[in-house]
Amino acid sequence: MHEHRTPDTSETLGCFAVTVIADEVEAFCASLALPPSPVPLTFDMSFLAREEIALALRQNLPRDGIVIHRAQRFRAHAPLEVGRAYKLQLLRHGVRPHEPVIHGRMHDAQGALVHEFWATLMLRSRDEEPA
Amino acid sequence: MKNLRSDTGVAPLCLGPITLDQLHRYAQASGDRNPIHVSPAAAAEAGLRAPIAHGMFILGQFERLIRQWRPACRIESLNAHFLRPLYIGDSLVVGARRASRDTGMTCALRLIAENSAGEIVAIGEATIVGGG
Repeated sequence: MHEHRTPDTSETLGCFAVTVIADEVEAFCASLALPPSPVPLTFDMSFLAREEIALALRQNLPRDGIVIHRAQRFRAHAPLEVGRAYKLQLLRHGVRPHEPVIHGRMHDAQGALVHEFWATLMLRSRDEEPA
Repeated sequence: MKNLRSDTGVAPLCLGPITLDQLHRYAQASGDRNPIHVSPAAAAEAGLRAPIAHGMFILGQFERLIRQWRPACRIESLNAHFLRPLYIGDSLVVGARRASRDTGMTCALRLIAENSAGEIVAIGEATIVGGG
């Protein structure tokens, strides 16, 4: 008897060292009119702009096309702390190639899972009509 | 707010109209420099009538609303679906209502963001702990 299973399409994009820098948190919070403490959950996404991480993402997303952010989820197991270093593991999930889910898992120096996020994207070619 | 009456004890958060300068500041601070958020030409090339706010900017306003309501709470989870673009020049109204009984320890919230026309641009949920 055959058992039908959804194929596991998870792929690790990399594991990166990131530090929560006070000035960056302050500027980020100011741009949203948020108090500078605690570190906002949405701050996690700013790590994706760091050079090494942005490069890993670019290599996994099409160069010519439009990336549409469809949905986003955050889960905080513990707060991020300013000045602390974390390991950010990035994975790509998704059954359809044009609808990837970028999953970030942040661990502290002791290996405890601190934050997770999932960004659901849709990749559209430039000549498609916007949804 | 047309689609949601806020019952959390905090007034809905009203912003706007959203300006290019505001999105520039957010782009700079978040590192998300996708030109569709800050360049009218890039937005037009993508088939948009004007630059649009970052989804994370809207989600950040959900977080701001929660912080205004319960400054000392811990946000355990936060999510959103982005349903339509929020263009520069639009206003943004963000509201919340309880989705579960507020025990004072944990509370689930439903979140909603509307544009100037009262159209829903994003919906979300949050679970918060403490701060009550």
